[in-house]
Amino acid sequence: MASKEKNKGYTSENEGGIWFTFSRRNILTLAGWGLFFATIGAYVSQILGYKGFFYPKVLFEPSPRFAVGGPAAYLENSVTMLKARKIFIVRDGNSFKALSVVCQHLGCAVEFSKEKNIFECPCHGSKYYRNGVNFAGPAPRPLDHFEVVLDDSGKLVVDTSKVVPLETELVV
Amino acid sequence: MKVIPDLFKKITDSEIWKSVFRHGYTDTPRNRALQIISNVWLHLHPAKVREHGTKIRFTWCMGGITFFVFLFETITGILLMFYYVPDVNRAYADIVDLMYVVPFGRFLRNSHRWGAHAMVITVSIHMFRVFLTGSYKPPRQFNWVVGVILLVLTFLLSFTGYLLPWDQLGYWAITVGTNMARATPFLGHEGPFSYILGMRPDNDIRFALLGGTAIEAPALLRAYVWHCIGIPMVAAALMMVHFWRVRKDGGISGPL
Amino acid sequence: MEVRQEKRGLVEFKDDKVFTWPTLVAKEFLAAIFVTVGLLFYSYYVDAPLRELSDPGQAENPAKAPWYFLGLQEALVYFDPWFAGVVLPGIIILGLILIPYLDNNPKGNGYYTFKERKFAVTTFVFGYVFWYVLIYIGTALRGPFWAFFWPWEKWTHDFPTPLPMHDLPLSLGIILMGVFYFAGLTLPALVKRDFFMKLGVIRYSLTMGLLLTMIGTVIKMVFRLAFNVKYIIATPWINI
Repeated sequence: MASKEKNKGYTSENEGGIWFTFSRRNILTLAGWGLFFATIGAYVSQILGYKGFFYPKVLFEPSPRFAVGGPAAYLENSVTMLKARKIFIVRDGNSFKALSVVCQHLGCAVEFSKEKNIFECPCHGSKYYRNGVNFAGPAPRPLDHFEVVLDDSGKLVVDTSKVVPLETELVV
Repeated sequence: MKVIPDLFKKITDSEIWKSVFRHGYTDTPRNRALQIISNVWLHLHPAKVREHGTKIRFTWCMGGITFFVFLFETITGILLMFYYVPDVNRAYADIVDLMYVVPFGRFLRNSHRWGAHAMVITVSIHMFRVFLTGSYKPPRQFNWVVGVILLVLTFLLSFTGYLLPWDQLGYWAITVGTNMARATPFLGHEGPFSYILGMRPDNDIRFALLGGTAIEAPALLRAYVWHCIGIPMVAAALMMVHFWRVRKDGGISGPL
Repeated sequence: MEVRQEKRGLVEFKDDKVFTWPTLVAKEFLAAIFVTVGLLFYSYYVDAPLRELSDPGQAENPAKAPWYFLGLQEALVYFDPWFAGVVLPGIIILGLILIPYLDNNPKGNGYYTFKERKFAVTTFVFGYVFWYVLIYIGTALRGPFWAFFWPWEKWTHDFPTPLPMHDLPLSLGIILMGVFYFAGLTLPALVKRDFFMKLGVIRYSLTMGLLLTMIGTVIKMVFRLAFNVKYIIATPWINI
């Protein structure tokens, strides 16, 4: 019987597809296809999948921690943009804050408008108060505040990998 | 004076000519059919088509023009690749060179750029026409699906090309564009519910697109490879399916 | 020289058919020539844009995506990025793909007609036009800091700071949203029974769901413009 089936290839017994008839031959067919798709799946997931080919392990990007000069370099009650570092140093009296220039909406660089005393994003018009809190436009939350510390040589050091709460300030 | 007709006949009767062109251009029904059937490029068409399908006022010719512009972009794109290096220190200078130094370079770059815009316009008008004529209805449903994917691929092709000059325009357009990926629910580190999967700037979906946490050298290289090889290959494969299905689903749609 | 096809003779064709060569091929050839000539003329007279070298610290003002994405960028003013940038385009693509499977009206297959498929054509043309209206606004009417300028106004950096926006209360937002989708799904089914019966439950709910999302997007924009509403539903996790 089995050999006859083989010659015919497709019999009425087989018409429901190979999925529900667990004869010995169908098990092997299923196993074959399973192995085939498992191999393809493994291959594709290594390329497109999480932590696969498209996720580089070594990044050649600048260090998130850097010195930005002594406190005296910044005028009292001023907002200074450090373009290359993508941060603002906001000084009010003797308190220092480091705010990200990256808009919380879609990552454009916000600009400080001196006359209005607010930050404005050129891309979609988000606006932030001087303390970084958003009040208009599509931005969902305040600008990031980064950790600022004073190192042994009396220089301000900003760590952009550490986001701190809004009220945090460094008083020198 | 029979010199020229004689010469012409001699050439067209020669073995070389006949080995290239299989049949003459006598205007007979047989030859008209053979023109299409025996030509590898033209046999994308059937030998005969329904008459209304050849009318510009029915098809607007937009699908064909889109395909033609794709070929145009391929040719100009390949030529531009001879001068362009996808390196952050060189890319911009290469484009400036193309614009001001390379002979014919400005013209090629211009036509590549405007061709890209034209392709987006024609493909969207094509979709509009296909909708208005109801050409997605049975049996052509699947071909509409292929068409929608091709539309998306056209957008992606144009979008990846935008970054390549490495100027302010492209840089910030791509910044805005890829930062949307950052906001993907679950998969982007600023999207809703991303904390469930523990997404950070250096492991989310945007990271996989850019090959880094910011638009830098890896992002430029990735845009370049997707733009020049990756997406065109997928698009070309799907175009073959698209055209083939137009034929197999009964040719250009028409009143039954 | 003999060619193999010659012996087989011609296949019988229906009478309304014409030979592809030269009827269609000639037109395609002409179209290709016109397009090429047009492109080349345009390229000769108009230079492709090239700004200064990219500078990560200094955004373009206004920074605009390529024009065909400006509809989405304009939508970004009204919605959070996860919706305007990811979910909305996803829904649009999915909706487009589903069209042939949702539209089971057998009429209007292969010819222009409005009378026989009013609903389908109206919906599609509305969406299509709306997409291009958004593109137009994003391209022509958005100036520095993405502020709105009418075509006759000059782009300046000096415009009044917009009023702060507020969210709807959470309960009200959820009720509004619920009523909108509930009414939108049930009312047409009750009023136009034959429309509902023709489509069946699954097709009907998918069609109306997509349609309501499209209309809802417009309504949200009106809410923002008219009443300064930032979010209809604002939760710590997700805002719409």
